[in-house]
Amino acid sequence: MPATSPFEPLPDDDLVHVRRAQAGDLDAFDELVRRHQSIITAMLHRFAGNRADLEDMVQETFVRAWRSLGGWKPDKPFVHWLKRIAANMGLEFCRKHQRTPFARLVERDDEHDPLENLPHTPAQRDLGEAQFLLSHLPPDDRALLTLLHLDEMPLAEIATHFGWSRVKAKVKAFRARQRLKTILTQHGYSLT
Amino acid sequence: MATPSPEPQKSWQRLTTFARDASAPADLDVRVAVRAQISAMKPSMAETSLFDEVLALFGQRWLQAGFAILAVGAFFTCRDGFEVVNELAFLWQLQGPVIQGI
Repeated sequence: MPATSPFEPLPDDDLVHVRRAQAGDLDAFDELVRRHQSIITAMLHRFAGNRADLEDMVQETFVRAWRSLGGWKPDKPFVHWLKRIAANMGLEFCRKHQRTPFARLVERDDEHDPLENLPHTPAQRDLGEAQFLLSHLPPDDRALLTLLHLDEMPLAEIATHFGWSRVKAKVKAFRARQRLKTILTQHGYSLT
Repeated sequence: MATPSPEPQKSWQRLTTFARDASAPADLDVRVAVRAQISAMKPSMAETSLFDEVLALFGQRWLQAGFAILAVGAFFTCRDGFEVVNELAFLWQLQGPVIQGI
């Protein structure tokens, strides 16, 4: 699990703002965006290769949250509900940016620079490399392994976000790892 | 001559460990964009609610009764004025005896 900020607001504190936002108060929703956008950005950063895509995904996550705010129930923390929307945004991103069979004919250097507008740090380069390798997987597998390996999200939480049973998530993760192993071998990597 | 040693295999686990250290852009703030998009959505929602209100108005009994009275009144007022309609009504009246004759 990624370390949580000591300044992360308490769920009860969110409740007041969510209730006001549900009544149509835009300022209250603005406050919720301010509080949680760093968490959502960090999560979606594992999917998006460049800043423009990342910004679009974060924005769309909050717009969708506004649209379906009436459906939120206080039985789970608001941020958990937001993460669910973000995870599905990530899945949608993987589906939209699925590699076609013809993409294999294109050399990696000819593709869009994945580090565009992002700092060219070694960690960022490694993230780009990991995203490139994961992009060879089918969208569901890519989204699953991005959350599992890059975001270190527990499998049970991923299953909840995608509406899968735990057994289904385990089977999917096993199969995705098998496919990843083949891809990694082709690119000179070992899974361990 | 020494043979070149094989290139050490790269590790996925190591790659992901380092990749996790990549920090997301700290200056990313979507508040203005989100607010603008939500505000742009609002007029269409208002139009929908206006349409719903008009639709609900047509569901009112007093309005439906008013329209029915107007339609009946218009029919009785204009009945004698429609020659073609009168012709058709006359032929309709004849239809009974003609069918009986056949």
